[in-house]
Amino acid sequence: MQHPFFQPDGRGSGAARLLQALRMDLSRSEFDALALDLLRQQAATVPPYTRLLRALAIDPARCASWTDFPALPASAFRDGPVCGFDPAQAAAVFETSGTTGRHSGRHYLASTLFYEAALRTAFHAFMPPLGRHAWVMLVPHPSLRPHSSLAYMLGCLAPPDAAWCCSADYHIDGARLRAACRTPSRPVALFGTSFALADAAEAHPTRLPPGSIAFDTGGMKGRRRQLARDEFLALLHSAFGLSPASIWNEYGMTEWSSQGYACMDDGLHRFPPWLRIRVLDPATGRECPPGTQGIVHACDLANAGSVAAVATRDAARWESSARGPGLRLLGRWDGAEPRGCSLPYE
Amino acid sequence: MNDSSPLLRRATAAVDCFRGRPGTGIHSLDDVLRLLDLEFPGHGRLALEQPVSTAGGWRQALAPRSIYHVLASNLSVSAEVSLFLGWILGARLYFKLPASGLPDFQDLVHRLPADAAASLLTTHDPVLMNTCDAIVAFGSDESIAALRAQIRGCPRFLTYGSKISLLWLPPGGASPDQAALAAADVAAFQQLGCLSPQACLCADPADAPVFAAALATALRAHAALLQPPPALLPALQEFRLRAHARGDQVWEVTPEPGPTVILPAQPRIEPGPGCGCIAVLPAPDPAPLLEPWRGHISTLSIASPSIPSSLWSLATHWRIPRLCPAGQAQNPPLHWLHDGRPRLADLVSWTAADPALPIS
Repeated sequence: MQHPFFQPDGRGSGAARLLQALRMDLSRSEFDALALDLLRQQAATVPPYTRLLRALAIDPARCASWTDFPALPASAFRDGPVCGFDPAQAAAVFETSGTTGRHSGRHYLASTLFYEAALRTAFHAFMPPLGRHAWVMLVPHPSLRPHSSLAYMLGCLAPPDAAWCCSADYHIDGARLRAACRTPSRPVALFGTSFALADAAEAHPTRLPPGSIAFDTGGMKGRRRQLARDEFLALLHSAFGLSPASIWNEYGMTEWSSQGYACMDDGLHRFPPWLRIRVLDPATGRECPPGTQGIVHACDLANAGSVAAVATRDAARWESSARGPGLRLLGRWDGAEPRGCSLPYE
Repeated sequence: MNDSSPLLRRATAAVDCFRGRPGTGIHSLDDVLRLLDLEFPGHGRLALEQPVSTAGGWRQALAPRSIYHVLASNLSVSAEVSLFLGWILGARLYFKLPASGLPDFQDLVHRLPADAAASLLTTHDPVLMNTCDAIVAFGSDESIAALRAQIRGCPRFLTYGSKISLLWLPPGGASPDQAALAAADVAAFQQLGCLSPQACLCADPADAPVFAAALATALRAHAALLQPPPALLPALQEFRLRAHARGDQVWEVTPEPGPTVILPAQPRIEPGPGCGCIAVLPAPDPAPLLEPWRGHISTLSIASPSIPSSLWSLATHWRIPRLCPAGQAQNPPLHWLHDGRPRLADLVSWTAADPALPIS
């Protein structure tokens, strides 16, 4: 099952157009045209998306805009392959974590071309130059977690001399971490989940050299207690001497192939032009005006082999700062996971 | 009735305050006496008030002097029953509220007489917690593990974790009447409690589509009760979209996101978002469906006038602590075994004398 936008080897006229679209000067009109074409193709070739459109009586040929297509819930990736190709031929499979009775989600990538192109282009566009930094990784090496999109992402970016300080079960090697951070002549770039960064800050505080940064990939899951944003920033400041201006946050998910980036001096995420974020009012489905909280829907052109339009359960609103407009993430939408007598204490 | 019994005085006062509160099983003092008789066989309340003679010698149950509760944010029923039981025992009670609060519960506590000795806490206080004789926690496995790590000394630590409930339909049971009973179970408390059925298992697969349709019809009667708060809309919408993407059969009870019955293309138990979202599953052999949930099922309500012995065996094998008639899932008696454990007997400790040493 193939279509012009997607072939396992990344060829095809559509695939070439999409790859070319993964650039920072992509115009809105180019995005609009490509997204419409891509979603039409995916409506015809990705079985879960085909079924969804059929059930909603949406005729892709009648959709005039990509926004006329429904977003597939990210949780649908837990129900079986969401791809327009034989999943056995996938070049990479990224998995989400599962919980009791819930399957883990899987994102099948027929080619890593799109993912890597999107990652590298956006990372270098949004992040300060990190070429002379000592990279210290608080996530498992990709060889230890081959199905972790986070490990894969950082594996793509990290230089060969990066210090990987985390075991497969996310245990931090404190001695290795401290040694890796002892670099008098080089600033440190510390990469990890919020969970790992907070744990490292509490267990292994180390004053980092000037110019150091932390790159927070999000996620407090499994932590004994979730930290509020200010509490988290204060913790990194006291442990590593990092100010909010040197702490970056990445917003992405296993079901996307692209990411957004925020510098924590304003905490607003910005996105590459091929990843269009919409904040929707869940009651009406309409876009929320700036300043109004809604739910995040994404259209990611780098999701070439799966479904570009993905609905999250993340709450957010558009805001502006001196850097310009950006997305303020507000956590999971309330009521996301009712679980009987099982809601976490706060 | 012994009016000089402090326990009975407290129980009488507590029953007056709690009588008829939905889901608590508290209707009269008889409920309390029955609970005491069941949990302290042969002696009932006396076991808590004086030494009682047993085959093993003299014994007296000692109520905790103080209990620290950590509450979850979905429903207040569990907190209410805990308060009721703690009051009866005469314990000083502390309740750590969830960040979102529990308005019904808070309102109730503010209206209680000082006798109830209940205090609300908005922030967790590990120091206070460790001064208490008992800790009762409602929460996820992760939260409970985190609390456990904070415990110093040996207080009694009772936990109530992540649970779901189910409905079982015998062959030929797909009648509108049974659907109405099932709908009542689903609709109560907006399906947010651990006693709320999340799936209906049909012993005869042929019954599944019939029952799903009947259940959807029956849920219409509860549509007003199941009207979702705005916070739940995305999850409800997602429940439907995801079912469509799987190719499930879907019965949308209301046009807007809300109560929904699904017949999954590939049966499996997965909790829905609440507000009347339920899966009807063909389950001639429920074992594969139940396997991931061993130890996480609270109640199996049965659309049958009696329990088939095979179902009893299934319940014991899968560690399902409660079986009840369809329509009663959300109305357990006060003496029900929450998570399979006694309510009061788990809270007390004992002073006992060897049989060779009688009390003179």
